[in-house]
Amino acid sequence: MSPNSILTATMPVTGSPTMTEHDDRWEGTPLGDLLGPICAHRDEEVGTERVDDAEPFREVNSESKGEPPTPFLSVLMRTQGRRLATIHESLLAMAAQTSQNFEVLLLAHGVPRQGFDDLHELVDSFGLEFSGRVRIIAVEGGGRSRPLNVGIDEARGEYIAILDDDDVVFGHWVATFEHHAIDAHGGVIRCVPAEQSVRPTTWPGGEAGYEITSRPRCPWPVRFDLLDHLYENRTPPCSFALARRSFNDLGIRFDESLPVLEDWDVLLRVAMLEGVLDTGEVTALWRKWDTGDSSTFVHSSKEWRQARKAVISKLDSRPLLLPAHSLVRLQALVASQDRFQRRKKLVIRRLSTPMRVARRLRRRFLSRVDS
Amino acid sequence: MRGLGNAVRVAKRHDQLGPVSFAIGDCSGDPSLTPEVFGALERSAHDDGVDHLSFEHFGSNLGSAGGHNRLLENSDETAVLTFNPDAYPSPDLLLQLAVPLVDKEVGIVEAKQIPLEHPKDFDRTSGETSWASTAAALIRRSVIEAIGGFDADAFFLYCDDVDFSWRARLAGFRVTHQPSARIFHDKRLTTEGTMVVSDAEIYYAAEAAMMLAWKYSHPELAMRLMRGFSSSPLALHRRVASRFRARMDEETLPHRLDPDGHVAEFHPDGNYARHRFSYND
Repeated sequence: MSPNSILTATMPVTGSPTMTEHDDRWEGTPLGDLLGPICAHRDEEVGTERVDDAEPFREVNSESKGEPPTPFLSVLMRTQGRRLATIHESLLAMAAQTSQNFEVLLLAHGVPRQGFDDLHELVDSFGLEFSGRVRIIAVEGGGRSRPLNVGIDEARGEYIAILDDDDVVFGHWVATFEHHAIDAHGGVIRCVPAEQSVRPTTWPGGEAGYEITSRPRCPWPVRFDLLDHLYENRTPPCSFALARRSFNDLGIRFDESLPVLEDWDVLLRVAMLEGVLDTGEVTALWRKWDTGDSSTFVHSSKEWRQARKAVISKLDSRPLLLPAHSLVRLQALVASQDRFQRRKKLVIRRLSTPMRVARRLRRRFLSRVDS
Repeated sequence: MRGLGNAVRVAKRHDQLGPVSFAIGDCSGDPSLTPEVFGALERSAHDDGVDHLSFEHFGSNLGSAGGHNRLLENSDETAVLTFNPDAYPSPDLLLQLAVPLVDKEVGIVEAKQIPLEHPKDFDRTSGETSWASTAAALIRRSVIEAIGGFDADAFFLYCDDVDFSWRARLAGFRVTHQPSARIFHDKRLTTEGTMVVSDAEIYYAAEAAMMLAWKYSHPELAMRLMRGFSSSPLALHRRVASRFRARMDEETLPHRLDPDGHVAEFHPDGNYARHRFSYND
């Protein structure tokens, strides 16, 4: 399997002119518009000094520097501390992973003191081998993006994945990302997401829990298609991992002005620049709440519409970088639109024939009367 | 093992657990644990508060029912937890499973499985259910004494737990599902959203379906299933049907129970309880 990697500009070749050298030859061009923000971020990071060597994808083993080993994956788990039943299961699924090469950043967003203590107690109950790799980080203020950005700043893994506190993963979630990382060359690694409907309930004994109301389904495509994703999101957050370098080198962050769809926005921006590798494996189960306080219900349909518009208009304000073979797809789309318009005209013409005939007859009749 | 040790540690910290023994049964051809690995496991288990750890290499595949019975031969604890090797327990598994056992009529308490929850229905208040999966179930000793273990003669890999639960219910015990007691059971999904099933699952699930119908006084259903498997395009189904026919001719099928249908449930969709949803729609 090869990624539909489409750009290697983030790894400048030694000695060749790059945008990091303030080379203004691309200024005002679509390429300049596309790379400008990335290079501006790079300049901030390295000053105005020339970057002579491409940064290797695999980081140096930090053990040699006396630091804890760098995990492969940093898992950003947002929680408001209100769903202990599901977060318990999300953590259990992580503890049971076939690859334990990860860290969990439990991002406690606006969680009150008691809830924070409950989270600590829950994590500690898993034993030091697991709890030692879970960091609970208090996050205050902001919307859904804020904890993710805090997590990115704190993450140490080569790759970063999002697992919300009501989602659950299969045993090979981490291992699948890890297995495909080399082939992804720093691009997005995408698994096949499954969804299952749930609703809140009270369990025997009185604990607030949830119950499953449907079988798992895989309504999203097995293969990532950028054009389809530009129309709407078809990849829930628990089913992809992004290289940390995408955030560090490209300066990408989750847009804190978006109330929802922050994951779609980042996925599109990174996918365009770094490409996507499909694993074809179902490794995560996204929970779709029939009722309750999930983002589907907490945010109004107007907020969802406005967020979608904002994501699209932000992308639309810059040139788009499309993967190979997109032209054929675009031509087919335009041709199909053309055919539709021609058919529409034909149908309108046929439907309006009686009226046109009537108008012609009326004109003739009136001209005879006049004469 | 580490997860189970941790569950023991958590239960002991809450003063909810007396002496604990772990018994590992190995059905593989060669022993899965070297003495060194077993030694390391034993030290780790002791650190977690496990009083005794044993390992028995059976030398042959006894199946789940046969394996459970062999391990039960040497146990005398007041309750027994059955646990699959491809499962991982929640830290509070033992604490949560013990809650319904306060009721003396409850004989078996079943844990909830994630990520793919068993679709079997249960009473939302009492947790009562038709049968308990032994992937992780806490069984009162008196149940084992009353019904004499698993029926390894009829069931090799599947439905031994359905049969065990139904016999426990016939003996007057109740079987409950406890959703707050969780295990991670390493199952996988296909891209169509259906469960990945192995050849062994296909074969032994078919065998168990016929055995269960026969044993619980539905011989006509057992025969119908046998005829269906005989004409199946799957060679595994044809083979299992032929084996069942041979046992019928040899008169080695199990004795019939529950003639009035007090506990046994045979639903038109092939399930042994009402299901809330299906994995194979």
